[in-house]
Amino acid sequence: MEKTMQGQGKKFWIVVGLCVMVAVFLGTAVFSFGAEKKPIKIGFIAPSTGNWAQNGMDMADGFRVYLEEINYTVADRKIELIVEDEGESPATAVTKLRKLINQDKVDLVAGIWATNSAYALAPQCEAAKVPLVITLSAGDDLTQRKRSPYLARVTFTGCQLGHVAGDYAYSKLGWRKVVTVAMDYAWGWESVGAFQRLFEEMGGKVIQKTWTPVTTMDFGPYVSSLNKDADGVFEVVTGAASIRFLKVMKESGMMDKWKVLAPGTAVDETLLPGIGDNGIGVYSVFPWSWALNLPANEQFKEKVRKSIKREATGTMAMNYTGAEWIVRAIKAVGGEVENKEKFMQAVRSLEIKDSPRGALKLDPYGHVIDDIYIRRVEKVGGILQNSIVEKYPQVSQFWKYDPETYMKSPVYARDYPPCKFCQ
Amino acid sequence: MEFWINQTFNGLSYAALLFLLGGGFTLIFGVMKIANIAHGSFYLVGGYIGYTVVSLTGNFYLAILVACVVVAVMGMVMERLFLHKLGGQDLRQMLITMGIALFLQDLCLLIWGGNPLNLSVPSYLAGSLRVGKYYFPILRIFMLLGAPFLFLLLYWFQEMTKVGAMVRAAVDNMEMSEGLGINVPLVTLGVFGLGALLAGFGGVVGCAFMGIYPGLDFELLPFAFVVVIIGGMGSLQGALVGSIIVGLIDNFGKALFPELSYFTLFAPMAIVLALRPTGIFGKG
Amino acid sequence: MSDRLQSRKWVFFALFLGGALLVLSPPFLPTYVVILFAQSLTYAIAAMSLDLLIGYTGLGALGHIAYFAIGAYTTAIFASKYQASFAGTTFFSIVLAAGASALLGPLALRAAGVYFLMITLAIAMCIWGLAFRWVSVTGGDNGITGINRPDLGLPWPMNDAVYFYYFVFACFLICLILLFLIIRSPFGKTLVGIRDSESRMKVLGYNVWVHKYLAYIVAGAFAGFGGCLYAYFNGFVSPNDANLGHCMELVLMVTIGGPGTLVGATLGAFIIVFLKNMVSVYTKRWLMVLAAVYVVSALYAPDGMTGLFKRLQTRRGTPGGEND
Repeated sequence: MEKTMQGQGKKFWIVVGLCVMVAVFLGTAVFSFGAEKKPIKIGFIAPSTGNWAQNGMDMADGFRVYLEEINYTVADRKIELIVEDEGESPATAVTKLRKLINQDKVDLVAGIWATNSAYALAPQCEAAKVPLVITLSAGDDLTQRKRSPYLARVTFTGCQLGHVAGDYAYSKLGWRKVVTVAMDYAWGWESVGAFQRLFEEMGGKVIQKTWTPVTTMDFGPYVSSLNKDADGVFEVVTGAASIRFLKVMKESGMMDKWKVLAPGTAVDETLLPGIGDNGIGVYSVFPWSWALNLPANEQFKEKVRKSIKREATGTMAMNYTGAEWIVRAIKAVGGEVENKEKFMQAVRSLEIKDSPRGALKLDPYGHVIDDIYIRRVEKVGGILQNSIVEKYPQVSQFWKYDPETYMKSPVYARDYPPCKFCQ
Repeated sequence: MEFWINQTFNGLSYAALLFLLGGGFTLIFGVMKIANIAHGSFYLVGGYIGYTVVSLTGNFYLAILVACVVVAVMGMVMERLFLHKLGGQDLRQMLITMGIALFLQDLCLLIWGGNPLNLSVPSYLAGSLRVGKYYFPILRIFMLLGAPFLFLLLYWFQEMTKVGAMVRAAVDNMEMSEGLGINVPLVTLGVFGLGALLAGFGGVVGCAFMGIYPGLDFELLPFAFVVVIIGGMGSLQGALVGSIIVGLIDNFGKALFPELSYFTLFAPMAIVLALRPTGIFGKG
Repeated sequence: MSDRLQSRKWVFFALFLGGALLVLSPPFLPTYVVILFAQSLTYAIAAMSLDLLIGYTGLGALGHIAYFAIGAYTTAIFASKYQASFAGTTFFSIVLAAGASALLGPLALRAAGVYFLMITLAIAMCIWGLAFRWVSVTGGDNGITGINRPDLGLPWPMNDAVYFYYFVFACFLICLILLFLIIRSPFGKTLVGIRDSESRMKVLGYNVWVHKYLAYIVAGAFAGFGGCLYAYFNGFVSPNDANLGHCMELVLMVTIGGPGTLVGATLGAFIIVFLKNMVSVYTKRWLMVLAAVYVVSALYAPDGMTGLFKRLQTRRGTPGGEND
């Protein structure tokens, strides 16, 4: 009797086990069955937790505003947007990318905030042959030495903004000696590197380069050790840290002494309320500003107001144009995103003349050529904004250098260009 | 000269914040031998509550009061509901505090969102005091004076009052104290609440000082650890000395050797561990 | 006598079923699940090594992930910068991880109880801090990318999820067998004795400190190997892999599976990896779910799933009750 009961028990569990396996298999198989015309799945990676959380939300919001405009439909296919959290570090992004590619089986990936996340994700997208259209993150080399036919970027890079900053600092601000304070990761390295190279080629000197960990909470020690001999400071401190940094700069009296120049992400419209009056007078370099006086921009701002009941920010603008770019490319291939080579070709050959940022097109290496603006934080009508001060039209990621020659030297890094004049 | 004065000032004011964080941590550890991983979360919740109170009422001191009370209650609830039964089982307790830390972190994200927030202090605390060519932010001065004052208050309480004596007895020998009629569960409850309160207080001040955002709790926790390990687990004086050491080393380290920022912090901890594992003031 | 046989038969059957699932199902499962299987196994190796410490020696080494991270970084650096072979990366990962644990062991073992917990955790934070700031070597916050799957000279491409999974499974099996042999050996039995009563072992003449130290090093070596496989799996290594969250998750894997049963650690690894990756699909509040797992398991199931299972058994099979 015992034996039979044991035998029964065993059989029962074997059957249960088999059922579970079959259920798992069927369940996931069923989910991949599509309807008539399968929706186009876009995987969107943006931070929703951590230091960059608000930026990530702006990214997703900006992207969605455009998709709403076209009712999430293009070329008779529905667009399904799957947003995943990039987290605070590339590691989370890598995990989520794996899910998007392998479980959700997305047709393309967009978004990405952090430069180091982009560097981590790009090779994985390339290995899986999934198109990646970066709608915010920088990372010079992704469209230079490490370029890939599967990657395009419609926003900005450290070198693109850094070169412009270097030129402006020397020729318009009249600086000759500069100190730099930047976050110690690829975005900081590349922005400062580009700035330093052009600034020094024009005759200026960078006399001190300070790198701060991304998670720095207290900028006090860094600010107070800045070399007072300089004419100005070029800083690359982004996200919530920018609020803290500018506060310390103001409190220590440095803001009264010097002008501050930074890439626009330091004074993104979303941060301005938090920065408050500490930010007045800060110069920044960016492909857009809320205060930009273009008809397309006014329309864009109005759409944002209607859709999410907030004022447009730089991050939103970048992702809005990114979404537009992707959708127009999809339209150009008649909705056939499955043909990835054709799709990427369409992405590369697209041009938008009337974006909220001005005219846009991609260079042969996959990065955008667009108008870059110099802005200054001012209080207009009681509200802080980035007023446009100067425009650099149709700037390439290579500035005015020849691309092939440019790429022979190493990518801007912590120690490149070397700090010849550092004291 | 200017460099040394500025850095020392910055280091000491940062130490004040660390004392609030480490002091609470060490008190909890001393009495209950619990390494409270949710301690950073107490700081976080305190900061967020302080922010909300200031946004609603504009009263900085009310914010501190509310935050302290709420966090203290939270801490006591946590102790009574989750930790009390597991006395002495270190691993299980730490796992529970980790779970609570994650829960609080997500709760804060849910309530206050992912945006970093800054608390606006009353105008007489904002701004800087100008002495010659030095700028001393007033908030930092407030912290610099407040922390030692708090330390003295706590020290007096611990050494000079009857209740403090009961706490010290419970720390030294819980069984004997119970035998002597001391209500040990009440003592542990109270100390946990006090430790949480300090963290909450630190949160409000920290929020005014450098803002608050999700993830800050786990970023600050290593600092609390280092303070307590260097100063000695369970000792208030240790927390004070530890926070001063950590604050100064961290500041000077960042200014002089920026590349080794975290290393300059952890190296002294490693040295202390190697030479005297219980910390400078720790009981052996 | 027959209940023990009975319960043993259940255990073997459960193991058999689990093993069958791991060996036979992957070609039929969705790609993503196979990928998660592979990830679980890399952590399972580290979790088992931690179980050696927590479950078998009674050492609550909270900071054990540090050695996993050292192994991962070693492999990452050697594979991406120096194009090292699998043999090379494995060798160096294990050696460096074991070396680090040999170096840091005496520091950690100066303390006991909750002090030991704190100190190992603090050491792990040091390793994290090092990974974070030693930018020239570790790339700091950027991490290390471009880690290609190992070229083993086999006809099956390692980029394919299923083939790579079987490779990881083979490595896992080797580790499982080795650890099992260690536990069954006199050395392993001494460790259990130390876990149960250190003072007794000392009185009996055993050198408790040396045994603990050796266990620590062995555990570090295995964790390093797990990290090596993880680097290949993920293609990317960053300081995040050694942060506080991962520290505690590794411990949770051991405790939720059931300390003191190597298989429990493996089960725990699967549970946590699947939990983290699958729950976020259904709810944004997945952190709260994880938090609940921490709290509930610590409160009600300190012996983990295997402990729960055993308790359920003894409740059912009262001596002389269920046989006929």
